[in-house]
Amino acid sequence: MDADGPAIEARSLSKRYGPVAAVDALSFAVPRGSVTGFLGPNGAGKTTTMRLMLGLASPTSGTATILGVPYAKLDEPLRRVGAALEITGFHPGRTAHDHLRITCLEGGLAEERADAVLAMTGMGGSANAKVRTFSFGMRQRLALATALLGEPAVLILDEPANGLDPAGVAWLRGFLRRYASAGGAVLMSSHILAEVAEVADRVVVIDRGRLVRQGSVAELTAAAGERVIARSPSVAALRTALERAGAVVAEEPNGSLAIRNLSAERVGEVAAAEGLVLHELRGETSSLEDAFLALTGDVPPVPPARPDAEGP
Amino acid sequence: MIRLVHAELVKVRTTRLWLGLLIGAVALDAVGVIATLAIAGTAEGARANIRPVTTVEDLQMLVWGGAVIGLFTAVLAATMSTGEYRYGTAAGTYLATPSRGRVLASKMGAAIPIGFAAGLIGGALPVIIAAAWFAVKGDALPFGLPVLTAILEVGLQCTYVAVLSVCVGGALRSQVVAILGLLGWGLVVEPLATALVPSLKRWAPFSGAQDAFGAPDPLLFGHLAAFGLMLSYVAAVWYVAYWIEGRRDV
Repeated sequence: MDADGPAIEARSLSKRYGPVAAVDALSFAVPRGSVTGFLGPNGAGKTTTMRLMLGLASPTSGTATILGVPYAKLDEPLRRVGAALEITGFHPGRTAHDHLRITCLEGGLAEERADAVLAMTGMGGSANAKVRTFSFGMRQRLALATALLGEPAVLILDEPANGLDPAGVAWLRGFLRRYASAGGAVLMSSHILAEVAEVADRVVVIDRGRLVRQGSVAELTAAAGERVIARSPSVAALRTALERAGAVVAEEPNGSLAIRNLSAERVGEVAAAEGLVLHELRGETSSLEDAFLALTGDVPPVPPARPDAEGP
Repeated sequence: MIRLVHAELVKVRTTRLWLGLLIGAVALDAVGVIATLAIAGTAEGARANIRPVTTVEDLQMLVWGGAVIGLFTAVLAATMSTGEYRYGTAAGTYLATPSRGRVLASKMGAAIPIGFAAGLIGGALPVIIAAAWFAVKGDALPFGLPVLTAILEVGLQCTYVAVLSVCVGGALRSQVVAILGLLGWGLVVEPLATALVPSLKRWAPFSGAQDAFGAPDPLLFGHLAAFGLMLSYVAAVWYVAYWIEGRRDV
């Protein structure tokens, strides 16, 4: 095993299903001692990439290594890598403790680890309950408990915060930070970008199976630049005027406009020239969500304009 | 490998399927034995060619009939493979043991004690029922070493069926297809084909196995050839399952 290289590395990783490229020449690295967010729109290929890394699917071409070797060649893999994927299931008629005990047996781990991870993930009280009685959040905790069984150096987590209650999300955030501080490497996919921004040091953004960008969260948000927020009772007219002036405009869920490519001063001038009233005008640093949307072009749907929202 | 086989046995034990199948198999076996004992010696029994149990050989035939439990063993063994996909546990299994060949081998290893235990139950049950039947009638049970041998043979038949069925499940992935395929083959296709063309019987994977460990039949191969045939079937289906499983995306 490579003691100095990246914890996880994908090199020109590709997976094709017939004519469709689910993952297309993807290369990125996850360093040790960090939490890396793995972002992309639905169907971008995040889960497929994780399956390729874990040897659950065969790549059409390229390689994926964990701690320097392909997953299938890892000695005692559960002690090296903990994984919680969306595709991982549980037998509904089995108890949480039995599920973990079986994984311990399969992975050559001490069966006492089952009790330890149940306590760690707040599942101690449900150890002997059958999985069929579990909520989605409890199943998510059980998946995390399974990933932690072998006290691995690398965690690969697919949407780990999905279904967790606020306390669970806070616990997960703290746990992942401590884990990375202790030298562990985490690759986590999530569609909750605010959550990723809170916990991740780095992000890898993919779209349609291809790498769009990788780097630190700060680099990504800085690259996305600033934007201007404008609120007006004449949303449609203001939008048209701004787009005519060269701006890229997106409507926010609250009805305000998020504007790129024009300064706040220029937006004010355009509105004044058109005789449009502004209720708000301010510059704003981009969030991870802005950066993600800018990189993937995954613009949220604009709600239909209300007739009473139109101009004076 | 021993801990993987242990894990597979724990997987079976920690769900209720085995218990339901065992109860169903024992009930079917018991009904068959009671019906045989009740009808034997009557005019209906004579018409159906069912002889009364008067000798050790007659009791041996009754024991061999207990091999019907093999059908339930087949279902349980097939679900050991297909259940991993039905419930999505295959990913977890392969994360712990990336070598799919070892996983298949461990399931086959776990199928051996399961099949053998089921066969022993299926073989012993007719003796227990017959003993009670004879006791009620005040007769002596014609018991001897051949009866114990027959029980052991039913155990070995069911072991073969279980190992073969694990591989069938591994090759097919779909639980419904595997179970319906095994039951359809064992209950419909094979009996029909061997009834229409009796010379096929010696080649049939289920009834052909009878000659290795079961009632002698002039239509079948000798013991050794039948045993070799069974091993060939297991090896062939294992290879297909191994080849498919190794290339399957989870």
